[in-house]
Amino acid sequence: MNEHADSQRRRGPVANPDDPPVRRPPRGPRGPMPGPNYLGIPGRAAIVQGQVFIVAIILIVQLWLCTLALYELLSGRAGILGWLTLASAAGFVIALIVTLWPRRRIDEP
Amino acid sequence: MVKEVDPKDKQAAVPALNPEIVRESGGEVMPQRPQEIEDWRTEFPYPWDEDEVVTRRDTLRFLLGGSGALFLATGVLAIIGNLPSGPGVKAVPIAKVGELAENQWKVFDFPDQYAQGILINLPGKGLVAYSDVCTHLSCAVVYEGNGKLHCPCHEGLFDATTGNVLAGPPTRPLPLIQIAIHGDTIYAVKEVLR
Repeated sequence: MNEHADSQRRRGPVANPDDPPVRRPPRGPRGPMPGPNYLGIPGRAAIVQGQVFIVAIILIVQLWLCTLALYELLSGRAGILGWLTLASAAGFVIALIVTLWPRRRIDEP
Repeated sequence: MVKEVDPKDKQAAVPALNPEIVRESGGEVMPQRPQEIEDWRTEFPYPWDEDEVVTRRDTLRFLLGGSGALFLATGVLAIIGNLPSGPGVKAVPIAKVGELAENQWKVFDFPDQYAQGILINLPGKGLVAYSDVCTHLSCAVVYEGNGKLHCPCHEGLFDATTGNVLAGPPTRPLPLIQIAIHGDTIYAVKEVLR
């Protein structure tokens, strides 16, 4: 309790005393990193969660493209199928980049 | 919300979710009793080491595999759609020359008995033929006599001269059926999807 009061005194008046003290993000070779937990497991988990979100959105779009391609095929119009395949390929390439780009790995216990 | 348990109150003891966890109250650390652990195991008989844990990275790999599979599926559909299907020409006799007066029409089977077309003698334009399957929900269209083809199911209207949509829910024109006249017979030759 005394420790909390001491830190409160050091920080001066705050809007909500229950807020945890603000920590500075670590500094990388190109300036501050995105957050105080960036180098730890929480930061890594947030990055992977972001990757999952982006790839899931791409997957939903590809599913729509595939159903559209099936509809066009069954309607006898094959002209647009090549473009739909190209769009789906672009989605897959973006998903690959999003998955493989962050190469930082942390050995989780 | 965390419920604090008084270590002296034995009746109020609540089993923890994990028997390895010890509970704190007022700064004191208190291990669980063996009987509580037994109760917990009875009510929740799932050992941690037998549980299937799906990590975020596993989910990411699964999604990436799904993305590749959908790309391949779309590619396969494109290949199937672009396979050569032959000339698609099949001459089917559908009417005699002079059989239809102006603004008269008739329905014929083309290319087989499972699909029909409509042959119309338009004033000033002559004979035209279309598939009579509405491009909205596949009802049969009929010629109204005023240069328009009407789909009675959802009030779709097509231009009899071009087959294009004039009104209603359809968005695509009627497929055109090419015709040829040989001798005194009119033949349906080829259906052109648009």
